[in-house]
Amino acid sequence: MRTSRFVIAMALGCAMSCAVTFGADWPTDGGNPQRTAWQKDEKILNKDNVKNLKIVWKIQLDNKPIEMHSLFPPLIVDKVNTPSGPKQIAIVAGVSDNIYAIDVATAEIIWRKHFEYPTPARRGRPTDPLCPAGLTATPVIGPPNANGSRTVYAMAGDGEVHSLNVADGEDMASPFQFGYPNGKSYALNLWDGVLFTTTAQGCAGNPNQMWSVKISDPSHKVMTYSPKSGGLWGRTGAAIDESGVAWAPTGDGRYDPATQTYGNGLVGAKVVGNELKLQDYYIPKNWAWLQSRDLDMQVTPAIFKYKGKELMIAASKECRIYLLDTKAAGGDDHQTPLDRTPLICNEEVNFASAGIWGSMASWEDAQGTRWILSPFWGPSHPDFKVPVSYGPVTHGAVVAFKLEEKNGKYKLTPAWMSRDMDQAEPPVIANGVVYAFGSGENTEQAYPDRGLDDNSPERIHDSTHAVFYALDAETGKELYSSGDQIKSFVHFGGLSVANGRVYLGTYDSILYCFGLEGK
Amino acid sequence: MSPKAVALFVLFASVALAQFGRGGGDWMAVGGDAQRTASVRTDAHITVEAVQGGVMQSLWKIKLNGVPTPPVVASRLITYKGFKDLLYVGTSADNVVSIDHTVGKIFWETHLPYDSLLVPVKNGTATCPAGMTAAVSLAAPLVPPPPPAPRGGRGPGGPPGAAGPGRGGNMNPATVPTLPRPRRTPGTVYALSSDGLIHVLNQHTGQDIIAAARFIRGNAKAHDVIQVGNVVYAVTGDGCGGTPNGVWAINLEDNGVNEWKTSDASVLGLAFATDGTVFATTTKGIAALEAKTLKVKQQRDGEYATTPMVIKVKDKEYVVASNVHGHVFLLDPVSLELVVNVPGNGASIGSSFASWEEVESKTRWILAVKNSAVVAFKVVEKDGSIALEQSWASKEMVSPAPPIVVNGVVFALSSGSRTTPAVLYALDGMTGKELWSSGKAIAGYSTSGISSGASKVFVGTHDGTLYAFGYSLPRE
Repeated sequence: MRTSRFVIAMALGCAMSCAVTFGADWPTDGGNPQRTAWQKDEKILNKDNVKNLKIVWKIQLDNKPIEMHSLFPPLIVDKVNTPSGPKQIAIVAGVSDNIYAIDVATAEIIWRKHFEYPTPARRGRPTDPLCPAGLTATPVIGPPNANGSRTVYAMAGDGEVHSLNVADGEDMASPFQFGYPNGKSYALNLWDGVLFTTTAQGCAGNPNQMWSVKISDPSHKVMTYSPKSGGLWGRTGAAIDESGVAWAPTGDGRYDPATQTYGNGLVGAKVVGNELKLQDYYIPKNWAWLQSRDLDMQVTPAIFKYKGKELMIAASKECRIYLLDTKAAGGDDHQTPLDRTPLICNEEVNFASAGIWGSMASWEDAQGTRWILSPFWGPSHPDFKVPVSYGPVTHGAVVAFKLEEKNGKYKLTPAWMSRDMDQAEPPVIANGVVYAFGSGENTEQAYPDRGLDDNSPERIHDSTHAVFYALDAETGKELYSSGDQIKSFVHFGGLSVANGRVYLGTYDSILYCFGLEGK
Repeated sequence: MSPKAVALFVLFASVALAQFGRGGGDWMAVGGDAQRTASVRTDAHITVEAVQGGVMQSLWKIKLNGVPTPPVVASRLITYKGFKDLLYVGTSADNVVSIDHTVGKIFWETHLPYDSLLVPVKNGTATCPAGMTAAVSLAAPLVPPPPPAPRGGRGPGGPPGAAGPGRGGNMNPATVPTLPRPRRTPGTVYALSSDGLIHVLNQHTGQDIIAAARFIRGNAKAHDVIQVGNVVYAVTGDGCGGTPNGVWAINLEDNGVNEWKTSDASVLGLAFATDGTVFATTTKGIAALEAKTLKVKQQRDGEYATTPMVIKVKDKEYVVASNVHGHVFLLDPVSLELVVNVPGNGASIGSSFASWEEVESKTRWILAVKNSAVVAFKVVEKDGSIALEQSWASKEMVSPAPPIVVNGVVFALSSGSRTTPAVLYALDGMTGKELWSSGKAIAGYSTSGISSGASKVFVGTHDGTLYAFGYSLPRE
């Protein structure tokens, strides 16, 4: 099938002819292995001009959605040498085992790959949004090799990792088995030549665990670590600290250190020799409460340096943020964070449409202030006090904290809470601007008449459309809103930002590119 | 799904769920279960040692509209507002209230509108109180499910996992209890309103899932409401509201009502054998009735004074009851012949019993209020037959309510009076030793007795306050 038949590129202004490359990449979900979602190299967009954002192009891809999933966050590589010259390329994965390479200057598909494999023997229950078949892990792009070529590592729905040349989509190496067929792997991460992913929900019989493989290992031995309880369903998989420890939340489950069972917490594992071994963990003291109400720790943490220490923020559906030291997460008893916020939302104690979901974000401003960002769903908690806000929050918002330290004591101080967003998703930050979106997704899993009945058709029917926002990163003030321009909702999608463009893919397999006219 | 289909689905699901009834420490109806043993066999947090260690806490109190009846309890429900641990309590104001018993917050409240041509009784009497008189019921299994797997000894409660090892430490944490499976579909709550209609309510919303059906005459003094096998049973007494005294059964499949009228004899209560036989005691006798039809299978005369209870001793069932002279009987469930007769010497036995089996020795215990104390009988073997042997008696209390048992801990309520507030006591089930008391936590006197579930004990008082004591998961 010729991909060009499915491309509907919409050029607006001179966006297609005036694009200039500036050298920033977004090579992995969350922007970097630490999952801070901070684009440090953005030079074009700023808080003064983002009010002029517009859709510079959108492209209809031929990816078929599966169980609410469609397009995963685009990866951006600048200055890719292609047969037709250097290009800035967006790599977009679709759940139907598709990889698209798009020239961001022209919105044309440069190459497309569709992974073919025999239908796996097992898959998730049809209509179950938790367990789609197909490609579910956002790919990751490796550093340039000796020739300057970049490789995108993509895991197909059969669990094979394909190593594709970003420039032309050709195989750079033979595929190798990494994951479980239809096992719903989460976003790939790459650190020091080791690929990481996580799994949850036991899709198609897949164990819930952390997975790693050395790319250079000829045998591609798969190394795993299982916390024995809970699923590792942080949206952007594992975040990796400076020691190479991969941190992932473990979701609903039990904590029983006597049996090395670490549900409802955060585990850090590292490749040691040819094994992936637990290095440290954090379990909230109220883990049993979290378990009893299905308030999982399930948010991919963000890792950053602060005053010489490497710190980490994590969160849960309970709607708190935890500040942890990557060298001693939870202190001596593994249960004492450096700080823990009060409840930000979820007064109702709901497991489905409230709480913090997805991943965290963090950035540092020019004055050295460290900012912590979190999305949340549902109404803000009535007892949560924040100095700056923008009207009642009933459907979700982004909340910002400043990290402060005094005499060795760390404190997350509320700074601002954004306007109401319909199911606010993980934000990204670039050049003093926070980019956020309300997914418009229906997130209900239980109903008054039936109880638990999480099903894709009903949720798709009841979903609306995403709205993309730009906010002043220091005040949370809305600088731009896409209003009704985006026509579909987003599930498991996400934002990417680089070189004056912000990208978002929606359920209907349209990739939107926001930017400034003429830039 | 059409509303009718949803209603049928929920009804079916509730019957199916009843098969798994008390795995999570649920309390299905007044008396706890179909056998009216007033007991919770296992509990993750309430043990003799844990109560001694301070696990019992005053958790919350909520003022309700009307005098509460004993709550029924269900936990781990996946509702449209999240996972909830709910109790359901009916009040004299014809309200049914659902409370998240872990956090002490009302989840929903439903008023059952009066719908009868009879003029509602506004001001009742001590004999014939106005309003809803019967506790609500959940779907009760006829055969109690096996107790959950052992949960790691009898150590004290407290935050699970709190004793985890430090860095480099080598502590010895207790095995962590596992949670019962959450319930995915809404069950049902059965409420008999003062107008005589039976309501089948969605556990998650409090809404009628099918139209309320005429069950008994309005303004009756009904009690012992219980749903067993898609049939709701109730009894009426004292001729209140002109309602004949009797046992009533409504088949929820067709709303057909059967009754066994007892003329001027008030019915005291019901209990079920595991084969479905319904035992009813009256002020003039005891009867074994056929399930659903209420046809008399066997009966025996006597001036009974208590609700019956069905117990099992070495795989054989017996009916326990008492008469106005304080005799305690064990009867054969088929012939209703006396197997054991413990003379009462004119003592006053409380309105119902409780029973539990000690796990290690398999000793069967029977608890009753005798005069002003709680007494414990052991079922023993003597010369090849069984007998009752009084073991211990508690201190005297003010109008003690029938006791209940949770995992070997007996809870007894000194109901109090207009001048003396109620006090809840926890006693060692083996010795009667007082382990804990609620002290001055309860402000008023109680007329509604106690119930339990999910490591908590609930006490309602005359002023409409419901109190919860026990263990709750720490939220912080």
